[in-house]
Amino acid sequence: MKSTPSQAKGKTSSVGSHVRKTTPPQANELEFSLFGPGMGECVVVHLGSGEWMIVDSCINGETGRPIALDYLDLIGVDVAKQVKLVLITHWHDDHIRGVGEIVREAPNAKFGCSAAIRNEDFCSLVKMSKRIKLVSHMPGLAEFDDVLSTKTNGPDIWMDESKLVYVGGGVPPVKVHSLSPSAKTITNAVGNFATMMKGVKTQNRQPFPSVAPNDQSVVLLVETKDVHLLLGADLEHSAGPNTGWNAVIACGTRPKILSSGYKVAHHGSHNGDMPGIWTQLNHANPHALLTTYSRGRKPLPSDADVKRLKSQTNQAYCTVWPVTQRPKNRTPVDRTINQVVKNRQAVLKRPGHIRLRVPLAGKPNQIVVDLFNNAKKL
Amino acid sequence: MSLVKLTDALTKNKGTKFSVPSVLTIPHHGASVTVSNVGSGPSEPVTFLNGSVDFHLDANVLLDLLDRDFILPTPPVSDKIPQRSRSGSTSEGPKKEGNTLSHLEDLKMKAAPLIKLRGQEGPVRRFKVLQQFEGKVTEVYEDQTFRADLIDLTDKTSEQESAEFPMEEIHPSDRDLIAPGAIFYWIMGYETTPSDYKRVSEIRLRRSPQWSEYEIDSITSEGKDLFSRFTRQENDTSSGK
Repeated sequence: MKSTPSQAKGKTSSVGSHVRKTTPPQANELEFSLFGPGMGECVVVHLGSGEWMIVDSCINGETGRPIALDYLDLIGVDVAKQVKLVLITHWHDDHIRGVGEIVREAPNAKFGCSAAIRNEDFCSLVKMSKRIKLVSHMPGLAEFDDVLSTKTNGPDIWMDESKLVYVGGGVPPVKVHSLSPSAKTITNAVGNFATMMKGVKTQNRQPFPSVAPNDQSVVLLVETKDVHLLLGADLEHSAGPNTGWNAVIACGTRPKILSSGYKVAHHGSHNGDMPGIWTQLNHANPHALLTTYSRGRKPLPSDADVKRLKSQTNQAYCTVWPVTQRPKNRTPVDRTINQVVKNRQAVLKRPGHIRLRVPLAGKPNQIVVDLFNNAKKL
Repeated sequence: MSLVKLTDALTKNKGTKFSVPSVLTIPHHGASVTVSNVGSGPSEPVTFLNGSVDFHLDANVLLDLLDRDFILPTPPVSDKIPQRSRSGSTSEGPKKEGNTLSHLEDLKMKAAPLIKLRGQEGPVRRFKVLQQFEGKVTEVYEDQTFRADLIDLTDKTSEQESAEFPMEEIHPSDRDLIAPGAIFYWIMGYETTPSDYKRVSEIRLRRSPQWSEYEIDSITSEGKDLFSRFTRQENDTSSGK
């Protein structure tokens, strides 16, 4: 139930929460859903005509399944037939959990990932990760290997700065473009993975930390008639002109269109932000959606990050708020745990969910915002 | 009974949670191995009895072995343990003690970790476990603390946590191993002995051996094979450029 259009203000539906949550989008409606439990994120986009795209993956702690699959089941989507694209922006643990299961359940979907990992050393690292057996943790790279058990010839799409990834079947068709990584980033990645492989020979076997630079991350642009979405993944800006956000903005072959919906890069961090994102890639006052990163001494977004974000838009939304959540009480060992550790932070079992919907032929001021679970407007 | 045959039984039972006592029956042989004691956590030893010979495995090693189909090598000492022979044929029948190995199995044995013999570490400790976590180090700070993700092994439905640990909670000999990616197990409970009953909290780092040359070669070969599958023509049916 949409309210009358107003001037670029996020509107929420007046229909009850459960009904809103379980109602699928109409065939001619664009949907942009962002999920985040405090560590990890997943984007689900309806491209029109019942076609869906899933970008990255995290687990719904309540069910143990990828949140994308739980959500699509909830709204009655036939995942096997309707999911057309499964894309991974980069191989960090918190962006890849459960993607193997998604690929198995969506056999008709094309699988795409960053061209920066199309590399022999990376393949060796994947195989190495698979040999590391833990009781509960699963190395992120092993998840990638799980995908390859379905996609035996490898990814269908290698994404870089100038790829038209998908053209939807609707009228007008929705297009998905990848805007990164740059050629320079891909070259740098070869050296990075070679260094990691060399280091392996002197290390004990253990899961690889997610230390690769975030400049290998894939930024996506979803293009419709008038309302476009910029999905910033975890891309960070870098000093050089040919990597990170500098490269995206400077790229001569990217579509020169401005977005009205922006998945804020790298959890709203200072490293993932730069003025050009707001002035050259987005309309003024876009709907800005972000996930939190509640792990670490400096959870993201910080207060300064929120202040900076709100200086760019008054329509900023966060999947979990407050950023850090206290873990549940674990009697009878809570006292012992608290005597040993400090700064305990919980990853919520149920991810927060921010959802934007707008007619495919609609205008930015027709975007309707819904917030579910712990999601909040900043 | 040969150690090769014992490991066959172990691999066929992989994933099985051993209770005490449990008996593994060696297929095709009819011989039995009794699991006489199981530690309460992943770092506690699992003890097997084989006739008059008993030996134990660090459970971390056991996890690795069961998943990777490695064959246990002959322990370094003790004439009570059957010696393996390296002829070319495979032994059959329960009474034939000497085992023979294929070339591949021989290579695997070179890469496998060693078994510890009972008695070298003293009596097995008994715990009443209240809580277990598997931890993965994510950051190490300069102020002698580190942060780790914690997965609750006691209650799989429980939420994942992240917390900061002081380095002093780690045994001095393990502190150099604390680096992003390192795995540890944190067990809380009551330790029981015939004369004592006390509350304990222990963090045990998972010690894994370095990759062997054989493994590096094998992994590199698998990586090459995987990469070769990537070099097919890209499917650009969706591209308009």
